[in-house]
Amino acid sequence: MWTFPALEPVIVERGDFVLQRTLDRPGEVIVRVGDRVTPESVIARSERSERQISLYVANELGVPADSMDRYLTKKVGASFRTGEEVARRRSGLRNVSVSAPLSGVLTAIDVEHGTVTLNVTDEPVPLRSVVSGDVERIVQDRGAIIRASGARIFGIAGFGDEAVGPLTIAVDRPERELTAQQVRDDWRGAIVICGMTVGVPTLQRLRDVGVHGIIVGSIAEADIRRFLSVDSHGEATPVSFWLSSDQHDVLAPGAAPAPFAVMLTEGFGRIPMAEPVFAFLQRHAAHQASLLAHTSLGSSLRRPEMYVSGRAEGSGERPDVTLRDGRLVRTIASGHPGVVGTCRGEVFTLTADDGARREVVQVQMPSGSVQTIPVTNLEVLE
Amino acid sequence: MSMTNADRPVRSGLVIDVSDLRVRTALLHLVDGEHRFIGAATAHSTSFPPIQDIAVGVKRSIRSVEEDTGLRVLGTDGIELPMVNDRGVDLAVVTGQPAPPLRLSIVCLGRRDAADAVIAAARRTWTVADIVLERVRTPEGAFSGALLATTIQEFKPDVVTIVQGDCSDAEWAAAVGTLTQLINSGLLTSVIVIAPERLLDGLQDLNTAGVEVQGLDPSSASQAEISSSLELEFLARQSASVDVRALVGGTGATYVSQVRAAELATRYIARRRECPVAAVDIDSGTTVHWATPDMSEVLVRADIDVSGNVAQILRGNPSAILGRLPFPASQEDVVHWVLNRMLRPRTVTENPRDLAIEMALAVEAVRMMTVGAREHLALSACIIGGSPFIDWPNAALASLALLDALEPEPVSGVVEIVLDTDGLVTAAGAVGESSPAMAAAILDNDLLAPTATAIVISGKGGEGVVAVRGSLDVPGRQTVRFSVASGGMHRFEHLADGATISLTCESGFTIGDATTRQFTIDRANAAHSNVSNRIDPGDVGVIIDARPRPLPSTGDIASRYQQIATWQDALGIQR
Repeated sequence: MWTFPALEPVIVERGDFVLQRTLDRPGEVIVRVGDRVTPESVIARSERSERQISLYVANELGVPADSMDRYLTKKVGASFRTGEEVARRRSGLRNVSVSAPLSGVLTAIDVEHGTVTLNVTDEPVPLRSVVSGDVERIVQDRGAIIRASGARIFGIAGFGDEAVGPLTIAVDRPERELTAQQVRDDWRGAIVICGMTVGVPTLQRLRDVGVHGIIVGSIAEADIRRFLSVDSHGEATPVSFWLSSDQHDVLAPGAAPAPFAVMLTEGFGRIPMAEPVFAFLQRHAAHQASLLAHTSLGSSLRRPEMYVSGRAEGSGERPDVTLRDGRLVRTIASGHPGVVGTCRGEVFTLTADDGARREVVQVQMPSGSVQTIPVTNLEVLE
Repeated sequence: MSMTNADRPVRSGLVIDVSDLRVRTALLHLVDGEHRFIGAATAHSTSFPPIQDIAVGVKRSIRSVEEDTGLRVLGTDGIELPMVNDRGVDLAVVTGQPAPPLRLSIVCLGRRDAADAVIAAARRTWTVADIVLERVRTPEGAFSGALLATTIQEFKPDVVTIVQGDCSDAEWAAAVGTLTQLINSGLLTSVIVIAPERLLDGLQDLNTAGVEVQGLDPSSASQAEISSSLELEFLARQSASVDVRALVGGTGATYVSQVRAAELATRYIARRRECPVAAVDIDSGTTVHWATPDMSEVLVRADIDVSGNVAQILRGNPSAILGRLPFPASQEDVVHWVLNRMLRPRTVTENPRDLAIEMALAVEAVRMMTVGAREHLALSACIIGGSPFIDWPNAALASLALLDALEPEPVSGVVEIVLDTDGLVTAAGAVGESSPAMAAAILDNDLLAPTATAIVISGKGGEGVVAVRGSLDVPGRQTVRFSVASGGMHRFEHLADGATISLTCESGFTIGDATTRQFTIDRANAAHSNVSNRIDPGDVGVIIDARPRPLPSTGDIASRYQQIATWQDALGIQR
């Protein structure tokens, strides 16, 4: 059961959790060990830092180095926003320009080498706790380890970053699809449970309303691709969206920043949300939820997760994922993910005719049939 | 006088083949004076979270082999070396991919062919290469330092290799300036520069404390020499990142790269059988080796497989993937399947529909990385398949996948398909560095029996036109006459020794360079060479493959489904 980055079931109703909350770059840690925090508590703030970057303006404009300064759009001392033109030249019918890769101040022009220097300032960024809990340990200059108790559920894929808001159940059954017309204006700031799937019009409407996040069984890849396409001239292709820049471990490197956090519980396609997952979310309707949608693959494997913290004590026991009689499981093989069944008996080793051995368990499916399924194709739900 | 390790006869060897998906341990031992493979076990890899320590999976795998064979290999400090009183082994080798692949940005300014030597070296080693050509140029064609910086920051390479093709000095200065900025920002720690001597002299800005900068003047060596030296450099970096002691404990175990191990074994098999050999393995990454008695070559893509890197196959030909399915499916169906597999890379494929999709993806993975090398692969008279082919429930499906991926057209007309269920190619190659005799014995004794033997009918004719007619004579039974149409397949299974298949080609078709051939089933004396008329049908049987080369992947969709279904039916593959 190693698909998840933790040896724990998908659903934990009363658990004790440890979350590492750290900044991407050094900063000041504001909390102390033992402090009680809420989702909104700022636990650390990155430092303001400055650095210089050179832009090879003459080369990129295709002009001699000593004439480069004629094409600059502003003078030394001027500020530029990210993407703003630093230099521009007319080339036939087109304009060739050099844009500022980051916001900064033009501090020097080097006409010998055809470069300009931009002073870039990284503004302080606050890091919030996102969950309710106690500060257990300080990570020097970066953040803190928070111990929280309550309920938690794992997703399988996510887009966007973090969100906090009340859980709002938008559909009455896990196999329902939420339509754009059903989206309500008073969902602003909420984390909305959307059932089986949502299409692009619904995603757009949810964005316009201002939800903080959604939890949905599945999404057609074309829909999430259209919704998060960077290219304003049209939608990205599957390759440019899912594989655009060879960034390893990133789920969708070609995606634009998501306007709200999205967590898929089952996968891509049209897969109903597992009934136990939907029932768990229903039990926590109106509770304040913390959604951490960040997903990474490969060696830095990380799945999205949602916590309802600070309302109940943990059980004090570490949840386990042992497959045993009566355990609720979900199938996860690529072609037919999302079927919920119940283990019948213990794990045993099946030896094929060629001697290959495979650990399997018998699972009673919703139809009543009992299937023998490799343990690698199962997740423990709860 | 004490005996040194080099002097001591090797009685036993343990090979631990590690990847992100699995750990496979093979135990080799002296039996009646001959080295034999005596047991293997596979455990899940524990390289990823939550365990993130491959050593755990390694130990589990070794323990399984111990339980199966009754031999003790592990002591309190790890593998016991050498073997004393039947405990431990004399030789322990770690192979596979126990460390992440080297991430390599290849930046070429100017002529693209200037980077060919670097790309070739990357494709022969365990690297993920990002080949950066036009992506760092503006729409007007000017080099952009900002684009180069963004490209490198996104890819996060371990090494940047920058090649001065024929770009201007200004472009070169801008590129070097960008790399200097990345070094100063701590984003880059290793650069290999391939440029004329006069430009190498001007790289002092790159030489910062803690940064490794290596230079190579392309005029000082041939392309082949440059490629070889880079290959050695990449191999050395990969080897340096493997901590064998942390993996298996104790001292004395060595590391041999999987690429090197499989190359040694493939080359040996080609020489031994006097025929071209191709070996395909798709585990965590894909490797394709091929060898003739005179040469060997390898293609490696650490970033293409049918598990965690399955999405890379979408870069290939999506319509070709759909064209290999025996049922209607949309491109979106395939993309969903791929993304769900990417999210859960360790799931195993079981039902016929999923197997068909995985097979189509595996075939496309091999085909997209062997573009340009197909003429060599087409000569293969022996194909050896590793993962995932060995995991499929039907060896006929694996045989069909290997035929589809490589489209062999052997000179003899006969190709043996061997499924390497125990990973013996890699295991033997890995011990071959230290004990060639043990490696040779294992390959000779334990990797001989084919899974299937295919007779390839070459030639072109209209679909449905008879390509070959024949008869099957089984002693004590009535002669069975048959014909196979162009574009079709036929299989004889459960053939007993002594059965004879006689084939006569119709006009325009041949079996190798002959128009008539007779083959006798003779498992014990099948010569496993490209000139033998004695063949071993293996478990799958004798396959007569009268499909055209290259295999058609376009055309009327309905008839394509029908055609693929016909091939699968001919091979007894459940749909």
